[in-house]
Amino acid sequence: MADSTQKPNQPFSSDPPVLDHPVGLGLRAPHYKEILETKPEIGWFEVHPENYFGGGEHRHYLGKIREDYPLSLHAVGLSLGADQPVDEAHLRQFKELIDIYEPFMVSDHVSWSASGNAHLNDLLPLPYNQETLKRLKSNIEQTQDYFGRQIIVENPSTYIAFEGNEMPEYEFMNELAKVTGCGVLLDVNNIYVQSHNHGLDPYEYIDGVDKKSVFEIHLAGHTKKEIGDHSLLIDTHNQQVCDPVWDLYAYTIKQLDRPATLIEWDQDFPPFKTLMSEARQALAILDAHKEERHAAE
Amino acid sequence: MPLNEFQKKFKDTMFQPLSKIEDTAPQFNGTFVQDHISVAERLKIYHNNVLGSLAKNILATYPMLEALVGENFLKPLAREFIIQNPPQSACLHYYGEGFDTFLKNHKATKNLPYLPDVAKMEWAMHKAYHAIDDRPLTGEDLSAIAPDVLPETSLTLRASVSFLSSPYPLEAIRKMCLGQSTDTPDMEKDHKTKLMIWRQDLEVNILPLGADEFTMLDNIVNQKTLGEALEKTLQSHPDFNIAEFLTKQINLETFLRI
Repeated sequence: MADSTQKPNQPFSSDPPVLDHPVGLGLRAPHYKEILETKPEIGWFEVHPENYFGGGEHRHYLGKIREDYPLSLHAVGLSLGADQPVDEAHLRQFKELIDIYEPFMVSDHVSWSASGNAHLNDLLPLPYNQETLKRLKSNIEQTQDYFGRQIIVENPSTYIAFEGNEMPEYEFMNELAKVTGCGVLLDVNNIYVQSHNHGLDPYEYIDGVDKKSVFEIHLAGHTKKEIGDHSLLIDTHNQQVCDPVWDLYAYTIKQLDRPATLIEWDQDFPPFKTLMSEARQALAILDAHKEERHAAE
Repeated sequence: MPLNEFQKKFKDTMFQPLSKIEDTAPQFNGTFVQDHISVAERLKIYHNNVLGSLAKNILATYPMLEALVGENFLKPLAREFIIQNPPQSACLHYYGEGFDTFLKNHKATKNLPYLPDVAKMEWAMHKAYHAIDDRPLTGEDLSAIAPDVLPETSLTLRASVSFLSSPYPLEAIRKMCLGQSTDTPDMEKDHKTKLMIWRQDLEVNILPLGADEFTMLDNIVNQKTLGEALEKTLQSHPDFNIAEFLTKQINLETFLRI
């Protein structure tokens, strides 16, 4: 039996996905065997590291799949926005995965999930002010120092807004990248969700993001919840990317150089071919833009 | 409101029953924007995400309980457990321990006395499934220990190993839950069930243990040395065969490599 502290036999490449194949998929347990059997044409995979703490079959399959594909580790548990330092035990287990699987990207969210010893298992909202910026700076620096590498942080979906916001979310993300040296993981679905939930213009949001900081894009499905005569969009990751989000993605990538793009799906899993079809749609948008750009040159 | 105070209040709001949200929402006046959707309604979205996802996690950890009593009975109990015992780690593999004790002390399960032991078995299976890939003690490792040193050696169980005893027919209950048997287990008589639950490679296994093996494993965990564990086991099981025991347990990869 493999020792979890040992690296798998095959040395992993830590290179980022090649620009010709920038689209990845969230790797989830129901699809492990099919991926190993069919070796789908996909640029890379992304997992939540918290699902790979410990040992057993999840690590077994991740090791096998990592032999064929680049990997990104996208955390949900660092709680970077909590008003307390990042949990050392969590960092230690996370770092062990980084050392074993050599991901090309490591990320988490602009959110919080821990208060004292309690973990809420959700990506909770933060006020966009100097106090939050200072706390996030400290926790992102703690994480980057511990890992010895840059991390990227994702803009959240939120269902409530703060009176005390001192700047728009995109400006907060820009500032965070500036003061910590971290990158931005731009979740285009989250921008769409935010715009609906808080009455914002998603295109203005995209225009406001400092593109130099963006290293990855996420795409996912959401769910509409009716509340009286109004509605909120919930970031459920349980269905296909909707047309307005594809449009927003097409707009976004025009300002970027074929960014690594991920299709996320976290519950109510469809057949793997549905995920592949979503990935092909993202690739087609990237390719169409590449051709447009070549034609213009 | 300072960040720390806000996060503490928000956390307390999440770890309470849904019916209390309307009453606690006003404490966030001035913190959250008031618009066409009330703060309470917005907090309920988070409450549902937090408690809903954790309850889903508990039910996924205890599928046999759900098969036995149904989702409608188990989910409210899971939510109550979550409110009393919020997760202590962001990794949910470690979450749900102690649900057996919670059930044991809950009035709703008074007429279902076997439920806590089923929960105990399921937690042991869950723990085994996610346990670290530590290295087993092999026959070669054991042979390398000089015979006169062996009694002074202490053995440690691997991270995946649990053993438990129960008066209930846990194996028959499991087969019924898995649909492998339609027989209704007899819950009245004392079945003196003794089980070892552990993972070998990727498979979680369940094995019935003899009373002597169970006692020896218990003594190995609680005594300082193998010699002391054997001496104590022989007091209650004078015919206990240590050589057979060690050969069997080495094959099952029970002990941690020294």
